[in-house]
Amino acid sequence: MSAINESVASAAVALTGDSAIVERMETCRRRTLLVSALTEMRLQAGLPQAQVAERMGCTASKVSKLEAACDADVRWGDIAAYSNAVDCSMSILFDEKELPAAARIKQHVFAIRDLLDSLADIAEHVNGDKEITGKIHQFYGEVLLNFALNFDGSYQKLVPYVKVEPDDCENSESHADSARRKNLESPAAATV
Amino acid sequence: MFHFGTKAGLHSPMTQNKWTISYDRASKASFAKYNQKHPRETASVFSNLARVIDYLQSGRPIEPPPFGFLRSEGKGLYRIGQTGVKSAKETRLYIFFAVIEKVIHVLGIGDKGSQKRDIQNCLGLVGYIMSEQQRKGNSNERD
Repeated sequence: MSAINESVASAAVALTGDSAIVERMETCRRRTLLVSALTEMRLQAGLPQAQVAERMGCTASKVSKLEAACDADVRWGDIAAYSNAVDCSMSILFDEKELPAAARIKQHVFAIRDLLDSLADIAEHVNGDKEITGKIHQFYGEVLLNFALNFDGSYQKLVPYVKVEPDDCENSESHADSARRKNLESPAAATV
Repeated sequence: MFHFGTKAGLHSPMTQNKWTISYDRASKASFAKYNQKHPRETASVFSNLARVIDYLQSGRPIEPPPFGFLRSEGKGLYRIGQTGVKSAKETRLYIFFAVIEKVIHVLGIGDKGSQKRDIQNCLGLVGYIMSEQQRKGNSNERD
């Protein structure tokens, strides 16, 4: 989630004459990241608080209080019930503090692979329904394109710090070529 | 009832894509005083204002009010309350949405005790802003 909107921060400083208010606003934002995300899920689902309350089997006042609470004060049971009410599934990721970034990336790559597999399973379940499989096929292409674009963005940040030896360059070029060849041969690349 | 700005805004060259904030009508002295007394609550209402503006920037409507902390006070005046502050002083940040011009006017701040007076003051400011918009609109139509 993004930091505090700059124009709001400027207005707060100008009106109060207190530049420290920005840090306090940021603290407020950090303390309510989870409840803000929950509220956003409800808004995305187009549900009013009353309807979420009905689905949770509680009063609208309780939903209102939950959305106005600090993350630290929200109960797990309520988060689970709220997620369910706004048609979202909930998963918990335990992330070792000491785990290097590379290991974390691997975890996410495997998670993405599993999700893509589940899409392929859907294609199998619908017995190759043209419309559904067509859309899944198109989505695979979009995933590949988005990944390539985002990967390139990150990679460009790394480039200034990498000293490339001529031999490495030849090797990396051949890797890139083979990857490109493989992508072109894959059905997903065809839609890109 | 929700006021969608004035008709004048439709022809206004000031119409823009992003929501902006105006605080020209607000009393800086009262904000400074309130912030001194209740710094956590003041930060919280501005933090919630940031959430409202982020929500609006995505092109979604303000009616019905999407957040529990955002309440209509009638005649186009809204209030934003504090959230996530333990044993907080009930705080209200008063704002007015000029929807067509895409401007959020910050008008005042106060607590539950001064609510009646604050609303009256802010409604006066809303009337002033709307008549000013009307005047601008009329002059644009003449041009």
